Formats: sequence, structure tokens, C-alpha cells
Amino acid sequence: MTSFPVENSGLGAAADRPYHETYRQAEHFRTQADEFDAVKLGVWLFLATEILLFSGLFVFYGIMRMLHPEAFIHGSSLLDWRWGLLNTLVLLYSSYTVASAVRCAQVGDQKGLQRNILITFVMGLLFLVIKFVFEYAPKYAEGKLPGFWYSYPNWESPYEPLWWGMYWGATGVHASHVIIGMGLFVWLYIRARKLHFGPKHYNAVEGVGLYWHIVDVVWIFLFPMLYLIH
Amino acid sequence: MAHAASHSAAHAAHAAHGDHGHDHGHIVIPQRTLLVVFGILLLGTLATVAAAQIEVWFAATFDVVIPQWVNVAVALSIAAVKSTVVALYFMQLRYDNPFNSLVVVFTLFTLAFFLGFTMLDLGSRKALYDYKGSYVTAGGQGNISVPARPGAPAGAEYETIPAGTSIAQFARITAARQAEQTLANGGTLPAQLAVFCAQEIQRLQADGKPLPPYLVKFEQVREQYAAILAKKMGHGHADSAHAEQGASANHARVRTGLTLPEFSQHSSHSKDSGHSKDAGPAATPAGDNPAAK
Amino acid sequence: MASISGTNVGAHGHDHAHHDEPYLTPKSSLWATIIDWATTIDHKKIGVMYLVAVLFMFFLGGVAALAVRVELLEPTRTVTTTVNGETTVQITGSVMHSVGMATDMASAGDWYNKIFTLHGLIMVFLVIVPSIPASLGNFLMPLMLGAKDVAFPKLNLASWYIYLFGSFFAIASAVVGGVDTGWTFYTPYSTITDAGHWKVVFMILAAFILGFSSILTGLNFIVTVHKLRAPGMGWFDMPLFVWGMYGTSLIQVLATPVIGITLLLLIFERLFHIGIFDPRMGGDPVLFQHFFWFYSHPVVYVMILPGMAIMSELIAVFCRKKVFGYRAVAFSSLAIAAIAFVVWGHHLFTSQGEVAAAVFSALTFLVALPSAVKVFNWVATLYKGSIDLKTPMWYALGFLFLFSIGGLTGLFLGALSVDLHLHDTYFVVAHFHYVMMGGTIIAFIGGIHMWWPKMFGKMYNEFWGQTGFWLVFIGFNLTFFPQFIMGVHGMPRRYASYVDEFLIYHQLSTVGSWVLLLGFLVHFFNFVHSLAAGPKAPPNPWGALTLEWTDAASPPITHNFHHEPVVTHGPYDYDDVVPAQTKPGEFPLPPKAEGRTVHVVKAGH
Repeated sequence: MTSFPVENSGLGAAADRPYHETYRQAEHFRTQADEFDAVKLGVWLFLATEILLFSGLFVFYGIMRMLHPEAFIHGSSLLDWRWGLLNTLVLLYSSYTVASAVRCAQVGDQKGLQRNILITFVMGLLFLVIKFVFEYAPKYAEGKLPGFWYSYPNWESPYEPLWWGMYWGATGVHASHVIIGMGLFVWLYIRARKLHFGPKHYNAVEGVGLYWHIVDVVWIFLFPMLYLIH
Repeated sequence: MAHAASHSAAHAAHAAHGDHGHDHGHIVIPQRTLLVVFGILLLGTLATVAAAQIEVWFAATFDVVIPQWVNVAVALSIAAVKSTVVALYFMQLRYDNPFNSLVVVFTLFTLAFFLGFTMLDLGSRKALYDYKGSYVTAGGQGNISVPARPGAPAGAEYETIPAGTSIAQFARITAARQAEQTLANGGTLPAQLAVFCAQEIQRLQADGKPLPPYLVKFEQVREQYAAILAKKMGHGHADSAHAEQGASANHARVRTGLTLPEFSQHSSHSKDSGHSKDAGPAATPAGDNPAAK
Repeated sequence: MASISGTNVGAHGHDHAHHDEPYLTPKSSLWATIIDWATTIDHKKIGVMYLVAVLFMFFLGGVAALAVRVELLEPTRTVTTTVNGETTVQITGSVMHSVGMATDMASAGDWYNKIFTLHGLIMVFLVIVPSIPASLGNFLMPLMLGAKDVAFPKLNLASWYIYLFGSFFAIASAVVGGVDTGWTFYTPYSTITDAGHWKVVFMILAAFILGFSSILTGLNFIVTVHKLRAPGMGWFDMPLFVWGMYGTSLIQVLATPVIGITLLLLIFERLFHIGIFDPRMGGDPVLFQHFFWFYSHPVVYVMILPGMAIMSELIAVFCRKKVFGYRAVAFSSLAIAAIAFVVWGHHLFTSQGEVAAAVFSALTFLVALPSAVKVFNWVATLYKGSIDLKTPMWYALGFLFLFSIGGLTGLFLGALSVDLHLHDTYFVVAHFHYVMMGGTIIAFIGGIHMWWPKMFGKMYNEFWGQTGFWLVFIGFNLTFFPQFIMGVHGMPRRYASYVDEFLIYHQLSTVGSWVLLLGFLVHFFNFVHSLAAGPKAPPNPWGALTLEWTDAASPPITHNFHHEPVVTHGPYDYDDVVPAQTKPGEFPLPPKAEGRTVHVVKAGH
């Protein structure tokens, strides 16, 4: 191995050029393309684990709905589908903005990149506000809670505590993913402000974007499964 | 490696990354495509909501029973289409290394096996012996200590659900207790307790049983809650936050195709242990367990 | 690095000087060395740290196992004697009682429950699951592929710290009193026992956290195999060890998240009582068994596939022969990984419905096919090979013997009708110890022996290595074979006491566990001696043909290779290629290779 000029080593002497232009892949990758592909494959494998993490909740849903459909139908009628719809729209829009953020990074539109990341973050926050203020809080007050805590008297099936276990478990795990995603967007925003991302280097934007899409996809399924049962 | 050259400003289409044809993964999707995809997703969302409404309307108008699986199949199909669009365009799978798609496919296979085989077991327990189909007692069988509900003796942190009483059942017992205390003190019932009292009266009357004193008292002040009851009870059962939805959900529930014997709109409370021989006491209707005095 | 195109080389090119030293070279001071190891992203160091941790945990789990065996030396009894009208109640046969840990029969039983649970949890989650992939796998995968590191070195380090973090919770749980749920955490045991205490939550949390460590390792390996193979190395030029690891990683990535959500729900269940698995709240405890085994059956193959991966290397190297049916062995790894996901139901034959049980029973037999493909191919490789009976080869033969017994008794248990009789007996215990210990651990020790010179640059003493093998082999069979007989006769597992009919079997088993201990001690001191005073190892003491032997020094330099290897021959082309020797007769050459031209890059220059 021969030595290479310092300007090739990341930030180094080329401080006048932004990070994303001087970025070099980690040394064990042969090319930057290899690293890009590796990161993307890694993210997809991680997404596979995410899908399978949610699979436990989906299986629980499938089993319990199969065994106790009446509990699910009545339980679902106690949710207001309009909040669910609003939240779906919020998440879909955030998915669109995050896809746009990747595009902005690819074409080097730094302003657009920062704006889109910010919008996505705000959408995530909006989702949580709607969830907590208009859904969780009233349900908590009315005793529509899982197992041990259940005290809502107007049930039609004694299996309804299971439905609420399902509801809180699924939406809770999903909401925790939204919170983690928002943390990632803060990180992305800080890096984007430092011009870390550009046409040659946007692995992080792409990766976080993929994660956010999967959070959205899970909600795409949760929305009809929770709110639109008849 | 002429990276700088290939990544010039005109980066619109394939950004070939030199080396050995790694040109997947660097597609820049036009903004218009993204917008169109977003539009499709919005349409899909509206479609899934509309489908649910149409199902209710159809069942009510033509007085037909729509089987459960229709609801499931329609909702999941639309969701599958939406997710596919997200995966193909927003997540760029369409332009990506095919192995990434393979990862997704394998993941879905795994999920399918998980769901399929678990359902196979829990759905076929009573295939040979009926007693094996006695799924876990409805809502538990009591004898557990739970956080004190409203109206519990002062200072109590926990109270114990009596043996043989399900959690759901206990919710009604404590609701009755709370309603009784509130009415005795001349207070105003919260909405869900007012609905509870009205429903409890219906249930007791349907079974031809006498009303306990607190419900008699409730009858006297019922007018006071007329607005809430009209809004929340619809045709008498649902306690939806929205009257119209509650009402329409009621219609649908009457007419959707539940085949399990235990489900029946007007007597669910007395038959909810239908498939469970040993579920007995847990599923005793509310009326048989007068509120603890 | 010469083969890497010029302008686009890594960021750290300027400080490559010290990367030419062996990776074990200490820093200037002890403190600097410790910091270096604690923050290293070098897969070799992480592999070695994992190895040390796993062996330490193996020691802890082994102590628990010995305690279980000692407790079972005699059945625990309450003996009531009346002398002169005075009644004395005495506990006999309980070590826990005689050393003062237990006050009565019930508490002796409690201690027994806690100790076998501890044994199971440590051995499964802290030892066998991470054992081969995280230690040998981490060390060898990049070397075998001709790469400088795994794809995501920082994630690799993260996985190590997550492992430590998880172990911390496991140990904490044991220290504050231990759990008695059994390693399977079956509900409602796990939701009810010790209510209000954090022990069970700690232990579940430990398993939950360790899952992430496992996922990160698996994810890293898959990407490494896809993206970091040396130039010229196609999928079918990879050593079979890599294939086995690839199958393992697929399972780790696809199954482990399910235990994640399962344990998360279990923690919710325990802390918040959400009524998903707890029948008191209307939940379904059998659903937990489905959730649990959907992970824990595939994870059985996470445990055995790496053992099989090592086997393929051991057999090929010490027979100096191309592995018979390379592709069949490679694909059987993937087949096992795939079938792993559809057979979990055979763990709950007695608790699920008949229809599902029949389906699962039928599917279970499918696993026998790829496993048998492997065993037959290894045996066929032995045929007409020039077998060199070094310690690793003895372990390979031991694996063939023990794994065959373990695998075939698995067929008994997979048969629905037979299982109803054998369920939860010592037959099951013996079966999975023959597979897990007789398979995975035996292969692991064989693998450690084989790659010891590569990892530490020292040779071990062959005589004591083989002595250790025979002690382990005899001790193992003495410990576990009687358990098959007990099981068939109805001795249930997880009991501290038993009827007199089983006395002789239990005593044989306990004595066997001591022989086993002796064997491990011999190995331990052999390794310590090797590190302290062993002769320096040549780059390729066994005459193997995979890249870690032919192209890397012993121990390898920090960057693994001086020049990026270019693969010109297959991993097992012993017919065509003769590995370079540092001195004549260093290792026997395959007869067919005599007089042929030699091409192999000499290592260590």
C-alpha cells in the first residue's frame, strides 16, 4: 500500500470543500459504490427485522380477531376513524417529504433537503400530538386499557380487554418507532446544516428515509386493521 | 474512477458509479413521480375508508350479511397495494439491487409462516375434541389484584376481582358501584356511566329482572342525560364518540357475517361463553351479579 | 492493497505503518492497550474478546450444570423418623440443603429450579448462540473472504457492547436471587413467579438485549459476504464455513426480531399486566409458546449450523481432500435455514391442537434431509482421504458420532405419537445435549484447536489436546447417554428428586459430568500453557487452502493481508494445489498432489 495525499482522507486539507464532496468510503470497501450498496443492504436487512418485530403484533391481531371477532368489531367501533385517517394523511405526507429529501440530497439541493427534513420532523410530531392528545388521553380517562387496567363498562364482549391490549401494544410500539425516527431526523438536520450530504454521499438520508417509510407502511396496515373493522 | 465527472450537476438520471456496473441504487426519482405516488397513496387511503363505509351502506340497504373476510380482504388488499407503491417508488426498490427486494420477499414469507401456522393451531383446536376448543376464559377468571377502580374504599391501592369474575365483568361491577355512589351524593354521572346505566336497565329489563335502587334513581334523573344518551347510544348499544358512526357501525354489526354462535347483537351478554364449557362463571351476565353493595 | 484502484482508497491510508504489525501487538502502555482493545473496530480483536467472554460464560453455565448434577446424585427426600416417640424430620440427598442454602424440601427444590434455569439461560443465550458466529465467525469471516474487516466494523463493536450489557442484566438477575422459570420463560410461570420482583424482568431483558447483539452480527455477516469477497471469489469459491455462517445469519436476522417482540410483550405483561399471554387476564399462554418457539426453534439452527460450518473445514483440511458434494453441503445450509422456520410446533405437541401437531410433525422430518446430506457428505469426504488424526480431526469424528445420535433421536421426538410419551422427559434433555453440546460445543472446541495457531500465533500441545478430547468424549457420553434410558423409562425433566429406579442412571450421569469437567480443565491448561510457552506457529500449520491460512500471517496483521488476496484456486483444491510449507514434512501432503506444481502465496512476508 502506498501513501496518499492528505486531501483524499475525508475532511483533511480540503476544508473549503463541503464534506459530502470530499467524503471517501471506509477503507475496507473497495469503492464508494460498494459502500453505498452495503449500507443499503444493511438497512434493508434491518428493515426486515423491523417488519418481523411488528409481526408479533400482527400475529396476535390475526389470532385474536379470528377467535374473538365480536370483541374486535365492537372495540374498533369505540375508535374514531377520523383521527386515524388524519394520522394516516400526516404520515403519508411525511413519507412524501422524506422521499423528496432523498431526492434533494441526490441533486445537491441543500435548502430543499433541510426543509424536507424539517417538515418530516414536524409531521412526526403532529402524528404524536394527535395520537396522545386525541386518542390516548381520552381512552386512558375512560378506562379503555389493556388487561389489568381495564375498567370500561360498556363492552359487548368480555374479550374486549384483549382488543385494548392489542390496540395499545401495536400503536405504542409504532409510536415508539415514530419517536426514534424523530430523533434521527434531528440528527439528519444537524448534519444537513453542516452540508454533510450531497450527490456523492447521502447514505444516512437514504437509510433514515427507508426506516421512516417502513414506519409509514406499518401504519398503512394498522389504520384499516384498527379503525375500519365492521 | 472519474467520480467527480460522472457526478456533475446534470445528475438527473443514472449516476453510474464507475467500477463494475453498480448503477442501481443511484436513481434520482423525478419530483413529479413522487407527487404522483403521493396522490396514489391519498387515493388508496380514501378508497379504504370509502370501502368500509360502502360495506356498511350495502349491508344496511340490501339487508345482506357480508362475511367478515370481505372486510379483512378489502382492507388488507388496499393496504398491500399502498405499501407496494411505497416500497417500489419511495423506497426505490424498483430501481434497486434485486437482492434487496428478495430480502423483503423472504421477510414476508417468514411473516406468512408465522401467522399461518399459529392460526392453523389456534383455529383448529377443537377439530377432534371439543373440550380443547375452550379458549382461555373470557376476560380472565378473577382472583387477581388490580389497581383500585373509582369508588373503591378510601385509601385502597388495589382491590381484588372476585373469583370467577372476568375483568370485563368487574368493570361493570365497579361502574355500578361508582354510579351508585355518584347518584347517592346527588352528583352528575360522567357520560360513559350514564350510558352504562341506560344499557344496564335495558339488559335487566330484557331478562325480566328488577332494577337495583341506583338504577331506579337513575330513571328519575334520566332526562338530565337525554342529550348524552341520544348522542352516544344511537340505537341503544354502541358508545361511539360519534353518533352517526356508532349508529352505522351498529347496522353493520347486525348484518356482517359472524358465524360464531356466541355472537348475537341482542344477547351477547348472556351467551359470551358459548364455545367454552368451563368458562362458566366468568361470563355470567352483568344482571346476575348485582353490584357489590 | 496493490490491486485496489488508485484514487479511491480508504481514508486511513496515511497511518498504515502500524497496521503491518500482528494485531495482537500491545500498545506502549498497559492502559493504552486496554483502551485500544475497548475501542477497537478490528474484527479479530472483537472476535477474541467474544471468545474470552463466551468461554467465561461457558464456565459459569458449566458450574451451574455441575451443581445440577451434584444435586441429582441422590434423590432429595424428606425422611421422617420416630425414635422414642420423638419425631425428627430430615432432608436427605440434597446438597443445597446440606450446604445450608435450603432449609426444607421446598426450598431445596426452589434452588434446584433456579440453578437449572440459570444453566439453561446462560448456555443458550450467552454461550451457544453467540459462541461460534461471534468469536470464530467474527475472526474468520473477513479473513476467509479476503477482506480487511466486516462490512460494518462499528456495528460489530456495538454488538459486542450490547452483548456485555445483556450479560450484565443476566448476571444481575442471578445475583439478586435468580429466576426459576426455566430458560423458556413459559407463561404463566414467567408472569406469576416472584411477582413484584425485578429478577424475572432483568432476565427477560437480558435475553431481549442479547437478541440485538445477535441481529447485528448476522446483519454484518450477510452484507460482508455480499460485498467484501476478494476479487475472483465467486459464491461457490467460498469456504463452506462462510456458507454455514451465511445460513446462520439469515436465521439470526429473520427470527431474532420475533423473540424481541415476544419478550417485549412478556415484559409488558409482567410489569403492566396487559393480558396478552396471562390467562388470568384472558390471554393465551399457548400463544406465548408459539411466539417463543417461532424464534427458539430457528435459533436451534443458529446454534448447530455454525458447528456444521466448522465441521466442513475440519474434515476437508484434515483429510486433505475436496469436500464431497460442495454445492450440496452449501445449499443444505440454506435449506436448513429455510426449514427452520416451519417446524417450531414440535416443541408444543402436547399443548397445541391435533391438526397443527400433525402438520408440524410432518414438516419436522424435512429437517433430517439437509442434515443427513451434510453428514453423508462429510463421511464421503473421509473416504480415501489422507486423514491426519490431530486434535481437531478427533473432534470432527466426535461430532459425527454424537451429532448422529442427537439428530436421529430428534426423529423420535419429531414423531407425534412417540413424543407424547417422551415429552418433557430426560430423553429430550439427552437429545438436545447431544445436538447442542455434542454438536455445537464439540465443533466449537475442535474449531478453537484448529484456528488457535492462527488466532494467537502459538501451537498447543498435541498430546494434551487429544487427552482432553478423549476425556470430553467419554465424559460426555457417560453424562448424557444414561439420560436417554431414563427418559424412555419416564424420568421427567426439571425435578430435583426421583424414584430409586433411576438412581444408577443419575449417578452415572453425575460421574460423567466430572469426567467432562476434567477434560475441559485439560484443554484450559493446555491453552494457557500454549499462550505462555507454546512454540511459535507457522502461517499454515495444517496445510489448509483457505485464505486465512495461505495469505495471512499467524497471527494476522491488523489489516489482515499485506496485499489484497486474489483468489486463484478453490478452498479445497487439494488435488491441484499444494500449500507452501515452512519446513519439509510440516504436514502430510495429499498423495495425489505429489509431484505437482505448487501455487500458494507464502504468508507472513
